[in-house]
Amino acid sequence: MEKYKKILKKRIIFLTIFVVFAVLLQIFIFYNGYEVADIESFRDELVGFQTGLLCSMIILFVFQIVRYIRAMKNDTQLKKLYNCENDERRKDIKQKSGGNVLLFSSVVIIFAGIISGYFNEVVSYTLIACAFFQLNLCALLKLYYSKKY
Amino acid sequence: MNKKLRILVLICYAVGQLTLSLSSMFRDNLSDFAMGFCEGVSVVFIFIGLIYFGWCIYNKKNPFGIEKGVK
Repeated sequence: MEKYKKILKKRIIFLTIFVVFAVLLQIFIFYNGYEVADIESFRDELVGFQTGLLCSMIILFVFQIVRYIRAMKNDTQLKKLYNCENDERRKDIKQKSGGNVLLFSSVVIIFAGIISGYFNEVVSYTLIACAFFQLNLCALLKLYYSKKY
Repeated sequence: MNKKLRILVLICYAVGQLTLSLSSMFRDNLSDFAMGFCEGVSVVFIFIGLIYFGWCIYNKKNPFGIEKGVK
């Protein structure tokens, strides 16, 4: 179980880095966003959209961090989480449906979409749509393989 | 999926829909920034809800029915 605790700690650090990056990006939007941008293509609505997206992502990441911290403090919860994650069937399904790679790449694409919003609106929306499509695909594959196995 | 998580996802979805509909209703009174913010937040929350609904349809479960005895 100590090994699993270390894995959880790593995940918490990873998520914290994402949260810090998102917060820094948010601060950047408020203070320097307009200077970087090509003014004509930079609309207030897009800034709001980026801020909303970032805020909701921060909320989701913080929720996950809290979940891991609570599990680390409570042995029964930790065991439950461990059993859930190390179930062979679940592992197989996760592997077949892209697993963590697809999730990670989607998050990176969303961040890229938010940053590219300062330069081109179309690219920003396209990247964000692409990330949502990837997440959808991951969910659909998970459903498919959970029925198959 | 356990009961707590299901309730949380449903709340997420409801908040997303509510934010989107209210922001559309008061479109004229909101600034562009606020409008975009509401859309950004609601997109993420509705997306989470839609994945949950997909899961429910696939497993032939009622998304709004929380079974007894499931913690």
